[in-house]
Amino acid sequence: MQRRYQAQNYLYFGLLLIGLLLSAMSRRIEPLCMVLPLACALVCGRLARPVPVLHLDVTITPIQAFEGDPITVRVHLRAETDIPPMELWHPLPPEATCTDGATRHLVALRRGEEKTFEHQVTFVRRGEYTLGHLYSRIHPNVGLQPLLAEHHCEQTCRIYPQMLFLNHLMPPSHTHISFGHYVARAAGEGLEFAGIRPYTTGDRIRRIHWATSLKRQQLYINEYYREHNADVILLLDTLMAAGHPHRGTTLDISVRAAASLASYYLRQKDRVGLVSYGGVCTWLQPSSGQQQWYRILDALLTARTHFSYHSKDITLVPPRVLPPGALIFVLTALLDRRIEAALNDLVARAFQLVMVVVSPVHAMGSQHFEGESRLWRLETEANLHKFRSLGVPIIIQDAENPLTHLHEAFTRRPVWQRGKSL
Amino acid sequence: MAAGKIALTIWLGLAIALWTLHPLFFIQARGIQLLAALTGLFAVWGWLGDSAVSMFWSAFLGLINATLALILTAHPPNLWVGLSAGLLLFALLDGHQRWTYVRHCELEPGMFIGMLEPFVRVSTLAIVVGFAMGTLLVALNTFPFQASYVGALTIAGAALFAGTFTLFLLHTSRFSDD
Repeated sequence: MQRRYQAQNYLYFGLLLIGLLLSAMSRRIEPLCMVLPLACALVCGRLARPVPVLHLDVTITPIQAFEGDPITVRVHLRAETDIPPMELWHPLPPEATCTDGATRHLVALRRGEEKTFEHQVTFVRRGEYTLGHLYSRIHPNVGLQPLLAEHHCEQTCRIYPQMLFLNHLMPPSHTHISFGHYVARAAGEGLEFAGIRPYTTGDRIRRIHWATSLKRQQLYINEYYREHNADVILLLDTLMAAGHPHRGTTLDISVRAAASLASYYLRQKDRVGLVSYGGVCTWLQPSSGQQQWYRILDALLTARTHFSYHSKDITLVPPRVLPPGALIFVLTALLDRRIEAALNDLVARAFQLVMVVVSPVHAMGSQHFEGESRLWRLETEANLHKFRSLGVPIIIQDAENPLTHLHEAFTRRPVWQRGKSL
Repeated sequence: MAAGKIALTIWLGLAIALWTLHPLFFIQARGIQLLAALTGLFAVWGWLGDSAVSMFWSAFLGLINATLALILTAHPPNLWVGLSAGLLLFALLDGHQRWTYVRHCELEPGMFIGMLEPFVRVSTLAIVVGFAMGTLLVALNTFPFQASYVGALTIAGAALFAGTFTLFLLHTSRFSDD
């Protein structure tokens, strides 16, 4: 603990000298008596110097949460000596808000006394945050020389992007044979019952439909529909972002949309990959399963804009990351026109593109800028006309959830024109 | 704890009002009224704006105003008058200091009494020291000093007190970072 002298000390001492001067000049005792309590306070503060001993533990649960989920911070105090009035402060990152309880407490403890404080913190933005760095300020006696201490009980919290609501089925147009939730018209390996047919050599015995076989006195076997799944790639535009640095940017909205789409398609047993296209181009190979879900979330957690005048060529992305026939969701704010070069390239390579354009107006939180919003929409519509004319479904954000109109865009899209370049 | 904050607000408000009005108990001259108004203004400004500097100006003006009021009325020297004004001044400054902390913090039960305790202790000490000092001065007055010696002794005593106190503060400040 460190002892610090407050400005109050100088104030008291200054007034003491003034009172003394006034007393000497006026030859009256009253001015001196007026500053006498200040002199006593200064002397008391200097002579008594207690050394309080305090144990502090911080518990943070859960350490992994989604944006908007409450995180409980529990501070446990145990006093080894008498603790005079103490201010305990848990400073929060600018992205965090205290939704329940207080982060500053004024408390006094007796020897051996224990106390627990609890407050709930909510993060409005994804990221890795450190909580549990506390400051204490003990005010012994008159509080002119507080004792300051730092308590390092840090724990890192991982705040994942919030999941947006997607309830409609949005099947990709190109699928391939693998285990998945899409069923083919052709019979093959799968779980969905298609019908029965007479037994032929090589068929599995376990597939015999015994009821029909006994009725018709001939062996019949069950047939199943072949299972398919699709490759889904989430292309995140990290070239530029607009918005509030603490409350959220267009990139944060894109990340939320990407996480929601990844969650949705991984639930459908599709293979999902991620490409962050920006000054630094990073990617995750398509894969399926829970592990891939966490990989994507971790990659999205650290997605940042890396400004660079040099933009990477999308052709540098390995073919295994962009498998042929993949459904590519492009999540962009179209703030940097360099993304269009990558989109032209992808359209020319006959990928099925779906563009989700995030509105900077929504990211800025400026709900009243109706004019700017309309102007931005018109400009975006004009820029995307060439893609729209090629049948690329385009969703322009006009609500809090950028994926609100995704299902409509999927269902009303025209026949895909494969291989047509711009 | 809202009750503690309300109690502290009343305490501080009362200290400001009494400290401002104290010189007006002796004289109602226009200059004194003006200085009292300025004192109150600075005190309220310092209270609402968490400004220690405004509080200092309020205390400074109040000290001058009270001294002027006592000189103008030729009030006989009275230890109680000075001590009561001193306790009011201390209540004002100490209360303001507590207020700045309490304003942003959540008070635990019983904290208000805990914060009042040092004030009571220092006030008691100030009263004891004040009476000791008063007794000493009365005893000194019995000696047959010449008028010129009294003036010189007063200045020398004040200088000695200020010097000793400064040395004490400087000496104890060396142990700030233990």
